[in-house]
Amino acid sequence: MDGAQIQVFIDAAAHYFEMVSDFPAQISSPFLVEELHPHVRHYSGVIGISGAYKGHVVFSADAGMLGALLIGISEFQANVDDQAEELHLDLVGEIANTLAGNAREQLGAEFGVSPPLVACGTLGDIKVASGLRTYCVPIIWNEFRANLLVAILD
Amino acid sequence: MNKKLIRFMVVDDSRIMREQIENILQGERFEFVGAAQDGLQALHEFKSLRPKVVTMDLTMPKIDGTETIRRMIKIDPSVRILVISALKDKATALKSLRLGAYGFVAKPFSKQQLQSAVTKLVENL
Repeated sequence: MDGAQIQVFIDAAAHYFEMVSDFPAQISSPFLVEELHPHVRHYSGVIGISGAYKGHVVFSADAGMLGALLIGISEFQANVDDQAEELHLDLVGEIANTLAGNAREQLGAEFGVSPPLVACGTLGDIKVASGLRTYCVPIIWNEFRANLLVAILD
Repeated sequence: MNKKLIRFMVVDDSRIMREQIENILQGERFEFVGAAQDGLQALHEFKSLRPKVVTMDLTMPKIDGTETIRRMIKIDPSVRILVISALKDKATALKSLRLGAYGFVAKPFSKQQLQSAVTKLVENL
């Protein structure tokens, strides 16, 4: 995975927060991580990558960020407090799917994107590709932190 | 005189997206008739609800959006399908249109982008 490829995901994350909220996200320089788990936050959406590429894209955030995003989503009117867990998992999966899907604009249709798997706490039973170099992209939005974890082999 | 409302259905594996799309479109011209969270459920609901307009996600479990479009158009060639997907590459958009979808909106979208795409979709209905 090269710098140009990781930039595709940084751009997708910046675009996402610009589109769904009034605050731009601050995205820090990506760094290589030995293991995924120390960088996983409370809610995670995991996308498996297939086709000409192999790997995974994980968007991981805490309830604070997801709750604040839900309040801002245009025309979404559900009572967030009553169904917080379900909605946070739904949103974290949708964000992961959107960031991975948007990457196809640059990486092409051979960048196969699975439906999201979602997890709370740890990644639990979700299997991610092993032996790949994973980059962590730290994101701060509206004072909340999230991590985008990307491991792609082409 | 009352204008007949256009019946629409929303297909997306995210509940948040389903409700957001429903709320944006529901109004003076459109009547929400149902939603589905995967292609299999979408085809089942489509046969009984017979909406005129369907918004369709592509990355979904069980049957993906591309195959669902193909099967829906076989059932009712007059249905107008708007793809709403994060898969932003040109090849995917063109494939959807070749299969018979009327339009393509990339996620994330603004309320105005969706309203504008749907207005075009139903222009000559």
